[in-house]
Amino acid sequence: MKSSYLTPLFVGSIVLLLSLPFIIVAGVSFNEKKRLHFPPRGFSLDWFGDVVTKSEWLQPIGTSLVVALLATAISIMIALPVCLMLWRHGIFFAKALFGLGMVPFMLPPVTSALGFLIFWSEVGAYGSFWALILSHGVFLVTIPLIMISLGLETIEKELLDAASSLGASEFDLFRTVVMPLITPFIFGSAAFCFVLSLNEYIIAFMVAGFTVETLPIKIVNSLRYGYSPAMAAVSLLSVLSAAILFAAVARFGDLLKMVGSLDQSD
Amino acid sequence: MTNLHLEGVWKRFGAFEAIRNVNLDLPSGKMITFLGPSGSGKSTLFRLVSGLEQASEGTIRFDGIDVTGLAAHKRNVGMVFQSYALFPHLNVWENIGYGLALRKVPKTQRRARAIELLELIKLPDIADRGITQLSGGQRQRVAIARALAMKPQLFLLDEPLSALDAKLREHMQNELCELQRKLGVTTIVVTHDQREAMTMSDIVVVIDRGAVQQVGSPLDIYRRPATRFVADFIGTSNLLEGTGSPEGKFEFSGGTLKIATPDWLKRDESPAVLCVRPEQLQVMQKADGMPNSLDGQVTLIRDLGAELEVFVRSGDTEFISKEASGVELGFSVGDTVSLQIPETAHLMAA
Amino acid sequence: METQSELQHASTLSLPEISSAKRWWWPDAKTTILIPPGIALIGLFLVPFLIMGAVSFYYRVPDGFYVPDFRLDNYLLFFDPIFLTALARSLILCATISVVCVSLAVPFTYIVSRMRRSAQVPIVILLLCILTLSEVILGFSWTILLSRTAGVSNLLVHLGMMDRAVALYPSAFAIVLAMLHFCFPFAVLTIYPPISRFDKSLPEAAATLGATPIWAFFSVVVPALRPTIISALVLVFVFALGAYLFPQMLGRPEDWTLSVLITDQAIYKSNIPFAAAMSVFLCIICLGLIAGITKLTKAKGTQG
Repeated sequence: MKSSYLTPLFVGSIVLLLSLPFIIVAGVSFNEKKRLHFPPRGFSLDWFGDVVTKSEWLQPIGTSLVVALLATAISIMIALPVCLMLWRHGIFFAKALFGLGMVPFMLPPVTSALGFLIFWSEVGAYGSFWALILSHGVFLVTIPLIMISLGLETIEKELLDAASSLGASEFDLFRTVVMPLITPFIFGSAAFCFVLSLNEYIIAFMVAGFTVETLPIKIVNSLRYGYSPAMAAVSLLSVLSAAILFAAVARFGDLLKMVGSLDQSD
Repeated sequence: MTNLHLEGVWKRFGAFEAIRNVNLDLPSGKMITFLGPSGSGKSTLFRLVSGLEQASEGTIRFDGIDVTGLAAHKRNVGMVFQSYALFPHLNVWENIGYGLALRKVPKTQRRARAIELLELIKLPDIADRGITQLSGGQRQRVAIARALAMKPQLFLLDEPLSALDAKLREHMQNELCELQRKLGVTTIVVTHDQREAMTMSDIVVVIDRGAVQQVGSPLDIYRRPATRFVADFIGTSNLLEGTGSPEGKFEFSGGTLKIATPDWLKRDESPAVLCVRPEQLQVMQKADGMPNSLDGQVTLIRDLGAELEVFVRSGDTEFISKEASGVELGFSVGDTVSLQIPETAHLMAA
Repeated sequence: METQSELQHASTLSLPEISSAKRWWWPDAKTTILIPPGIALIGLFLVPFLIMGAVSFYYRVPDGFYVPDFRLDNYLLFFDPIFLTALARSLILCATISVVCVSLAVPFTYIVSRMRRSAQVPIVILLLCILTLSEVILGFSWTILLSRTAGVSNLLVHLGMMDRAVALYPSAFAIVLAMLHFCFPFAVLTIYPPISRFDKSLPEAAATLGATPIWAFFSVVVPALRPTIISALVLVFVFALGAYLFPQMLGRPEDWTLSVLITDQAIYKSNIPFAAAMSVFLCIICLGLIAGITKLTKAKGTQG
């Protein structure tokens, strides 16, 4: 009987603690003066106005968006063939690549970042925009590998047999059955990669920190010169855009299944 | 209408022989079942026919045309799967029109064909529904409609009714038979349910351990099982091991019986198995001097409502007999009785 | 009929044989598809790590560059007290974080995975947001939360529990808080799949035997999930080892961990060979731990 109110209390307080920093950041961003106070003194949306109009913020936001978009595309283009070949044909090479693709997330990001730093300086591309995009693309590949595989696992083999018996060639199978069924998982993993790349700091910093200014680099750099509510505003916008993106994924696909829940009740 | 011909078909998975030298010649337009216990190879044989698996050896012909090397998508077979395998991302009519869409048939024609099939399966109003909105029985029918949409040469169903509840299953059995008769398409149903095989099919192919045990009409297989396995698997039977002789005698540990000589036993005495179906066996109050009878003791009487099952122990054999319910038996548990074995009991080679 | 003619064709068609004229070194279609991903993953991920491994043996020219060589100097620097204390600090910090996160995450995930889907989704979205936001925004949020002007100490003053607001950072405590925040979602999402699959009938069976839900959780659920919990401990530990900005933003130089030390050596001290040596060391620890745990849980899995 006791647990009937204990469990919601437990879950509720953890959720509250997890959201607390964001609540404070949101509050701070509404300050009128250039001081960080909580509860905010006065109410103003000026700092949000700054973020979306001043090139000081717009430029790094734009850079980050382009990097994230391209890195996500690369990540998925690497992962999709590997997942498909592993799932459909169990090719050893695909298995090996899959295993290799798991490694970035098993290691502290600093080590990957240093690897990229050394590699790109050896190649002579240190500090270039494309070095950053490729590094992100390769680094994030774990996400689509895992999520697309999860998606493929949900496809019943009998569906493919049924399609074959109705005249579908191997390519037709891929086009008319496999792709439509894993599309939500591809978009889910894309959303993940996108947000991760958007906020990624250490690799961006080590590969192109002094030449390409992404949003996280801009934030860290600004921190050195003191705080302003504009930084709170940009942080809040980051949090909100991530939340909206994930909510959209949940709206169009099964988010719980994408993070690995097998408890199916639909 | 298509007849199906298999010649010397083998299928190996590594060292495992899933199908061993299957030869079949199945007439067109019939309802055929592949019957066998799980792991017997019936599903593998079915997949070989459909083209989802390729034979390791042997030839498969549809209407005399060799299709052996052809993949499933080039064979024009309509298949219904155990899980129905309806595409979750397509609605009902798109599922039915899937094969037509692959062949670039225009949308209006596809839809028209889908509606036509939905009428055939008596579900005219569900064309635009999603798959998740359908009941199990409805899904089953849509799967059937989808398989028939391409006017397949062979209509193949893998355990099609196993996911339905008992009542619906019986209903669908009748409906499936009716549909098959109406269309006249050669149909193969895989099942492990011998009752289903007996009630639905024109021809039963009994499969065990990767080999065909017997092919025949349900009645034929019931009355004259070719092997001990068939006799045991289909229906209940009392099996006695002994020796048969050409002069119409069967000797076993419990005595000698007079039995009509089967064709295979024309020359020498040889080991044989006698198959007596429970309804052939008559249990009577003990009387001496009865021909072709054994003495035994009643161990159990089970009243199943429609009939009675009587268990009798004679020597070291337990016999089962079925008697009509509501009739005065004239004996009870513990009594010594006579078991009357008819001369028409089926004698098989051991 | 079209299909009919197709079938007739088939009988005259010879079966596709692997022709001997085929060049043995030429990959088949399936492998061809894997060439671009292969180039990307091997060329841009494996190769950089191998180069890093090589660089860790290079000679560092004092002006900040390095030349190919084979010397163990960089590894011998490990005996420097700065490195050893950073190592010890990292291990203790991450072990603490891991234990706390997992012990909170197991009951949390268990309860959440049994909630309605509509209630689970927002929680999962919150977790994903925290997990994907990186340390920049989280670190920034925590500096505000722990600051004098806007932080929780204001709240405590308000409640009369403190006399005046104070800054709660830089401190080791601040690092721990931020890292718990960052690692908790990771812990939850690591154990979410096995827990969501967990057989509900087990605790129900315990309940029919008179166990209270909490007792059932600790006596039935936790033991059954032991392999999951052990591997989560390791994975969260490794994940925590990766934190590099929190110690910088929320701590003092004496709170720096190994990850920070690597960045510091690579970027600000321009000692790339030493940074590479530390990286290699860190990689070996992490991969060793993960390989060990995978082997252990697999062995357990086959036993029953």
